[in-house]
Amino acid sequence: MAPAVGFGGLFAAATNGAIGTIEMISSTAACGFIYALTAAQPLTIIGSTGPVLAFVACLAQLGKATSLPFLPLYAWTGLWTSAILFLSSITSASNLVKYLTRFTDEIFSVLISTIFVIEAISDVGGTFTSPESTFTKALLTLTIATVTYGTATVLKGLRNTVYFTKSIRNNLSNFAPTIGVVFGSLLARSARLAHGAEALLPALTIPSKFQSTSGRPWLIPLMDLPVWARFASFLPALMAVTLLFLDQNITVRLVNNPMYKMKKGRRKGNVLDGMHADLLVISALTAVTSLIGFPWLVAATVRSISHVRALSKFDKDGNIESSMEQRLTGMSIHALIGSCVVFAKPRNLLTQVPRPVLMGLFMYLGISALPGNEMWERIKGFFTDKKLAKVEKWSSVPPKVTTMFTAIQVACLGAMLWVKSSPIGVLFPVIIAMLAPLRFGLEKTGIIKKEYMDILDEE
Amino acid sequence: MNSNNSVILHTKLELIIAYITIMKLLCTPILLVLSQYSCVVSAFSVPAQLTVAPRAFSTGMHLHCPKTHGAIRASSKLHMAEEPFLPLDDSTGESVEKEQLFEGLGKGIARDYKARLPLMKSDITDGFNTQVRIIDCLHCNATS
Repeated sequence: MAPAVGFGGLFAAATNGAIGTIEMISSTAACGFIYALTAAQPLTIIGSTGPVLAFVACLAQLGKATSLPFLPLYAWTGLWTSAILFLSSITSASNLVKYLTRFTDEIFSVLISTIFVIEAISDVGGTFTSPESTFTKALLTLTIATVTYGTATVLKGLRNTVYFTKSIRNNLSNFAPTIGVVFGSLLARSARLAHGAEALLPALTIPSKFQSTSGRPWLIPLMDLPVWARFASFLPALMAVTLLFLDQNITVRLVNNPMYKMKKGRRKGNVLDGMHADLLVISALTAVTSLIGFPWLVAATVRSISHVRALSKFDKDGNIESSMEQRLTGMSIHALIGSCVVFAKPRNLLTQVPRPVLMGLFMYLGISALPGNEMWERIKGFFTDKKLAKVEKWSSVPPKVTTMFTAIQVACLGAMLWVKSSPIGVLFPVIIAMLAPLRFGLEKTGIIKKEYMDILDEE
Repeated sequence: MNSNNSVILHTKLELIIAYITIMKLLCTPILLVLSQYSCVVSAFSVPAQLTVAPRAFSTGMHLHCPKTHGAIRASSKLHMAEEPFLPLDDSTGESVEKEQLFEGLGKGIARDYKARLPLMKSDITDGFNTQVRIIDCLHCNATS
């Protein structure tokens, strides 16, 4: 629910209210339920992701630059995307994911985290320069966002401390982000009660009735887009396909990891089972969401992995014994999310959540996904004392090679972020598509020897 | 008014040309690397045969990786996906089917659903079991 609400707010800002929180939550609920019911890998959780948000923002800017109406452009791009995804699914093109390695996964994962963090910082930082805001409000925004992030982070780490009993530690740690949101919201409310309008922070914009954020009709007027643009939208659709295809398949590949010991409908050790059917479902959902102006949804990495791990059974040594493979948790999660937009009381409650709280939550989601990412660990390694640093699996690789490998990954990440924020931002998925050939090129040209690549890129 | 329209049209044309140029520039190195990478090229030329998982299970054939002969590679787990566990013919020990990069229309989807749809009922019933387990877990936490 929290990522849906957060992304809804960001979508509203990126699309000037054309796609907002109500669309995001409705899309998450409906598509998530259908996906959990029909997918071949129902443990995957679909939702909006940072790269998709960035792409839609670029598409909105493209529409503005070319004086084209955004929603029809979005719809046509989505329809082309759906058609290409459909072709990809029926030809089993998801098998291409065989050529993606940890090199690509890590850069993609850090990109997602970076987008989360950048969105949070730029939103909070923007309140200091916005003419609509005062210095008091800006300072309060920073405080609330920091408190939300800090609470969630501290409580998440409580599990590994000696405070309280084990039961309390585990429960507080499990509900850390939720407690952070509640705590941040209460703090903002107390500030408003104490200082009045001076401390009134912007909150989520959700219509009091179940209707679109801007009050537009649900069905997008497709014919409002000039004929040439209907065909030209095929080009951004190619970018969207790259993004959705990689986002979906990288995540499902991680969910299908043999370490989770899943058995239902899959061959031993095969990570590709179910991908083609899942892509077909995503293709159908993309077509429907495009027609009604809902955000495109795709497998969300962090949420999917959290879901799978929550359903894993561990032995006494902490190793995964098996996973509880079923559809009911996915269906229940999304049915409950749907109830929040269908019923008035929870909908009104959502309008009480201040925006800085969501930015704190975004910061938490972005940063909490980084530990364990080897690229991130190696980046941190640049700043550590080599004599005191712990032995990592890449410690046997010469430091120069490790540095070069990591620097190339950072350069790829930088290129993606640079292209994303440039006038040709809509093309940034191409860089993601180039990562796999680049990795093989590095090995083939001898820039990184195979023996070192096998260690650095080991799964 | 006409001059405004022509300016807008000119801008649109420039954008389209820019798109095409950039796409060409970005795609050319990808294709070059792809064409040089023999593994990728050979993957496209694998004969049109299909691995059918349910059959492998139903006939009780062994699942085996022909290149590694079951040994787990130290370098990368991805090789497991790259070289899928293929069913072996019991009599000859040879791989009878190979997985290819692109398959016939709808074959991958059919295989996925053929393997998963029969389990739909258990997907629901196991969910109720899961709920029981979660309640059990919470209960254990509360009482521990």
